[in-house]
Amino acid sequence: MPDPCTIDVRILEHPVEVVTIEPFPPRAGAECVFLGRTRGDVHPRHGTLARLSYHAYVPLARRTLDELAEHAAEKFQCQVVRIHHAVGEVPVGAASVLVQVVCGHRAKAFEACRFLIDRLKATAPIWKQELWTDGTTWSEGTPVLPEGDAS
Amino acid sequence: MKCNVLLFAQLAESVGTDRITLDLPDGSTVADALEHLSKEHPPIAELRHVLAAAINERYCNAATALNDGDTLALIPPVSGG
Repeated sequence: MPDPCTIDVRILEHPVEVVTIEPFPPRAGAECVFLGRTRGDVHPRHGTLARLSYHAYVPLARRTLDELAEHAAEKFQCQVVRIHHAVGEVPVGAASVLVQVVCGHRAKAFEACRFLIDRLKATAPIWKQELWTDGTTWSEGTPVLPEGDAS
Repeated sequence: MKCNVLLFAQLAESVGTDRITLDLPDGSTVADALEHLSKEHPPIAELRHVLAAAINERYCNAATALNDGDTLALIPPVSGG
């Protein structure tokens, strides 16, 4: 019988941080953590990047992340799946997304973590706006095509 | 029937609003709604080929039928993470 999985999905109105897992599941031996941070950049016309501003369709983002977490928990036999994503402003160096998974062994933990961040970036209705010292731009993004092209 | 349309990010900015009320014939689909919206709002026509759609907070496809009172969200390319 598989070990139970604790799932923790949140959309937070501030940058995210790693959360210590206590008590750590006694039958797990691997924890994999991914933090996505705002990377410093310079725009040819708008100057230096000050921060990113994340916008979300929160109810659908929650549902999408919940479904991803449940899918990963089953696919990779996870014992913990945590996905936290920020909305609002995230300064350079601060983290906008946390993916944290606990599995029995490292191979599944790495795979689950990679799967979750890749699918999140392709399917969660979240948008990144770049706030430069002189202007704003929207990140180009990836079209979501979960059930066929809506056009 | 009337549907509420939600717009986000660069799409909302280009159209100049984040919500539109749409009056459509009964039996209309998401594709019909996009056809109608594309005629009224050039930015929707421009981005139409990369838009996803959700009805009442669930992703759907172009053939999905709309019902009176539904909320149709048009999802431009996403960039979370």
